[in-house]
Amino acid sequence: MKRSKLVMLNFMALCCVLGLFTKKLINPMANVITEALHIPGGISTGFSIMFLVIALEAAGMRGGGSLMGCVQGLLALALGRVGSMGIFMPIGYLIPGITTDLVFGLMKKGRFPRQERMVFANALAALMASVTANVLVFRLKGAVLWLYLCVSAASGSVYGLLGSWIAGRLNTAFLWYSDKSGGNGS
Amino acid sequence: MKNKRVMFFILSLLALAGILSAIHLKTRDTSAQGNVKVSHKGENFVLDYNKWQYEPVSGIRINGKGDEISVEGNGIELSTVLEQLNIDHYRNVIVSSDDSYSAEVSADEAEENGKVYLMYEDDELRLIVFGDADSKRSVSNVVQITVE
Repeated sequence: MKRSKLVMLNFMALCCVLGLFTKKLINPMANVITEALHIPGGISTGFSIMFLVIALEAAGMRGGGSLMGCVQGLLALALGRVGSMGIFMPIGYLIPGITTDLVFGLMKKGRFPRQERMVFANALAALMASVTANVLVFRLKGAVLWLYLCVSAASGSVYGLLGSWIAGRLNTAFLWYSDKSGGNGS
Repeated sequence: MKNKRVMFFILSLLALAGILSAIHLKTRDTSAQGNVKVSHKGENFVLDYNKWQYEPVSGIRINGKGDEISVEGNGIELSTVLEQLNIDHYRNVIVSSDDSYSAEVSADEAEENGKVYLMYEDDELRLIVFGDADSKRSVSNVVQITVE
């Protein structure tokens, strides 16, 4: 396996773990907003997805989002971090992963700027995560459902913007790395 | 920040979220602190749950991870609350929290002795369904009970 590919896979694994655990860090801040709006959540998921989108942007691997979503879901299940979704938790991680793959597939590099790709991917993936949570757990209806979905998409898009800024800095590091050491077979 | 399309997209979503927040906060059913609203066949009863006669309850509930959690505290059976309102014939009960999260309990479950409780915790009500395999029906800060 090429060393640069191994580095990317390691980076993707790191982002899976970061996505899973950093969600807890912003939960207190997210809870303040969701409690004020009287909705059951939808803000911290986008932050978790941001790491998937960053990894996908950096690695550029086809199907990488689904792979990372699958790994995250299995990790969450193994560690008992299943939240209110219970046994269906892997679905809650897999669907945003598939969504990021689809958006990155449709908005190919070169045709759309990085910022657009990442913001749309993050917003749509966060929206799909909320749709999944609503179908499996919350079963919200009416105005509260639309608010919940809109808050998810809005927060997802903000995290996407943050992610594109981070990816911009990482891109330089990865380009430097692949120039120096990429291509060494092992 | 250079991309105007991205900024327009984000600001539109935030504006839409703001409008929907205003609509939701204006139109949602609210009950004062210490009260729970019970709806049945178009009738609404606002009950002060601080005045209820609670009994000591203890048992085991199973959370989403499959772990057993010991529950101890004061609670009242859901069926007792409905009996006090003379509600006898119903199919199911939907218990909703302040953040619109809700759980459904069937009439058979509600009437089963020692299964469905409204626990009094930190000046709030929490729905506990003993024997559930997950924590989906553990609803905190209960504000509304809809009887169907």
